[in-house]
Amino acid sequence: MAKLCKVYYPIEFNSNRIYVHPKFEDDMKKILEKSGLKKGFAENLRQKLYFIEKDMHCSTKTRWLEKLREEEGLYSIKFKMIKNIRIICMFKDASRREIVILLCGFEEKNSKNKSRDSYDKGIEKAIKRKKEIERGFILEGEDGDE
Amino acid sequence: MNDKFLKLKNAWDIFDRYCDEPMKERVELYDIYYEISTKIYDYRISRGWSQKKLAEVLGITQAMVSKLESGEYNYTIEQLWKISKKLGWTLNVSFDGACEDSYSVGYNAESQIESNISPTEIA
Repeated sequence: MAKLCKVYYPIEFNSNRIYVHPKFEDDMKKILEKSGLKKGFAENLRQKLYFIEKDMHCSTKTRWLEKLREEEGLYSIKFKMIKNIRIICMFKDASRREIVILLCGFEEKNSKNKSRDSYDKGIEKAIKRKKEIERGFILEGEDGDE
Repeated sequence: MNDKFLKLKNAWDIFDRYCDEPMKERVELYDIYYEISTKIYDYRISRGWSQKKLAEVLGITQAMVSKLESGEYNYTIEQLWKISKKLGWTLNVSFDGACEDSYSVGYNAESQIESNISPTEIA
């Protein structure tokens, strides 16, 4: 007799492990408004958040999540689209679990010099926001301070 | 007190704002792709295998393993059946609706039989 197996059905996310800096959404708006990429980006973003949330640090073995050598604890999520969108994030312990915080998003320019420049500005912004977070934060929907 | 601290929003709420209704529906399909690719990836990583090693076991190319693990691949039932057979897994596809419509098709690598069974028969 065959066994009744696991039924594949959309799983529910542990949706309390990925957060964003308050200004992150403004970055995304600047990049995506008028670009026509909203939908494609949303699909890509969701896929990557899914894998990060499922696997956290193991995701760093993938090609699309790169540890930034210059700065300890910062990672860059790469999106292969018409625009080279990058999101810089960090891992952090909070409320007895590890969370990921998306710090900032930017578009990496194509030419070599501009690419370096855009990355440097992105990292600079991410470091500033990381420091803000390290001064103290609360997670939306949860009581208590960090 | 809390005003001093940054309030971090849940990333999934932002995702919701970028999605239209048709996409929210398709998300269910994507979740199935992601679940399958995660299962294959976990299997490989838990054994310390490279993609090349898994490719050899499955009799496919390394590039194909990369696709299978990407979460973007639209698997055929035949491919899933072959993967299950090679890795000793049980494959089951189930359509859950009203009780009389429920139907399940499965493959069990252990017993090497294919079966068409309804949940009510098993119960």
